Amino acid sequence: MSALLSKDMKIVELIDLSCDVLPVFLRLDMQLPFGDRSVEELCGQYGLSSDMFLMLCQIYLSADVEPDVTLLKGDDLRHLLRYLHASHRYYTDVLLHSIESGVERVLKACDRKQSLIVRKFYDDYADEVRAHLEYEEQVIFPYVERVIAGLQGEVSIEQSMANHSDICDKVDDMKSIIIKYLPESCPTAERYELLCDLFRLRDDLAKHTLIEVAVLTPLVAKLEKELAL
Amino acid sequence: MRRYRIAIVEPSVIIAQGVASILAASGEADVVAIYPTLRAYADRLNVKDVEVVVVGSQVAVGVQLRSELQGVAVVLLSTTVVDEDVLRQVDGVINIYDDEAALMRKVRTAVEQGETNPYSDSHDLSERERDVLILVAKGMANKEIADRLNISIHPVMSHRKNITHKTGIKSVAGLTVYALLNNLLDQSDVTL
Repeated sequence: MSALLSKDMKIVELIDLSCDVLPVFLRLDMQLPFGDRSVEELCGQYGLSSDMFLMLCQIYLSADVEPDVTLLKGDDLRHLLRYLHASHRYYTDVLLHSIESGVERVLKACDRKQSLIVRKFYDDYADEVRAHLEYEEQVIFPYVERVIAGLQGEVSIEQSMANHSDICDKVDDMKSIIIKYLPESCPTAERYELLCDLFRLRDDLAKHTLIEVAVLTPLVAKLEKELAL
Repeated sequence: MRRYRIAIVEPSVIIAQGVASILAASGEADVVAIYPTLRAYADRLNVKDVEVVVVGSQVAVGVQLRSELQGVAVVLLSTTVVDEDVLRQVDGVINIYDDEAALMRKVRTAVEQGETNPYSDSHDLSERERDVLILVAKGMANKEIADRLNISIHPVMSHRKNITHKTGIKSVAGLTVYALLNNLLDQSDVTL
């Protein structure tokens, strides 16, 4: 863990480092105001370990983090699941909607043919993202719940995670299309706004994937091993 | 006075010869060759140092003029209604009702324009990359593309890498959007 973050620091200092950490608070459902509470005090209030909380913050703060899951314990996995679930809700209920109406505003001024082509690409992509998240909600998360409850599964978390597709590439494609190829007739301000949303989605999905691959999967795999003994 | 070396790409002999004789009469232009199609222009032999290409508007439909005609000033000869996409790729437009003076003036401006046009050194796809892109967008696998183009699979893969590098687009669906937006492909060619 980076020297910058410690459990003794005040929440307000942590947020001052970068507003990129704000989603972590929101998705763990931590209620404002925080007053002068420290990281440890706040985490204690919500029953999760400072190590896990700071790990999530660290992932949002820097590009290359190698999370050390040996620090995590007990209820952390349950909180992690809650966190991932809240991220899904943010993608489907907030960000995808915002992008969708952004796409609509940008394409309004395009000619019909071009607008249909791009619209179709986006709709297919959004369907893919929803299907991907749905698979996690319906298959992976319930499986993790069962493992937490001490039930041995017939598959492993590694197999289940390998089953699901990459959803980051096409956001990049969408971005390139908007920056490089959409005709001039598409309104500029709306285009920038849409780009900001797409970057937000791409960066958040990348963090999300990292959390699933480098935190969730090894934690569950460890539990699976203990169950198999 | 500067003399421009001009080639004309226009299937109508009447129009092509007409433009050629007006340009030649100006004393500022040498019309070095006339071709019916862009393909014929691309295959030209022994005609070098062309500075300006006058392209008939039917010829310009559905092609990436900029990548077909690299390193020259492109003047569109407008005989039909012209798409905005085409207009963006050319350095000047002459109308078949323009008089002699207007015609030569537009060629001169086009050359100046061409020298400053940012598109001139753009990262457009090469002809081969375009062929590959079109087949990718039609849903073909690398092996099928190699068979179709009569090349082995390695160049297909390296073309694909270049295409992604130049366009910034990785997915087949995204490349299809690129191909359609750039008129390399008709919507009826793909299962959208």
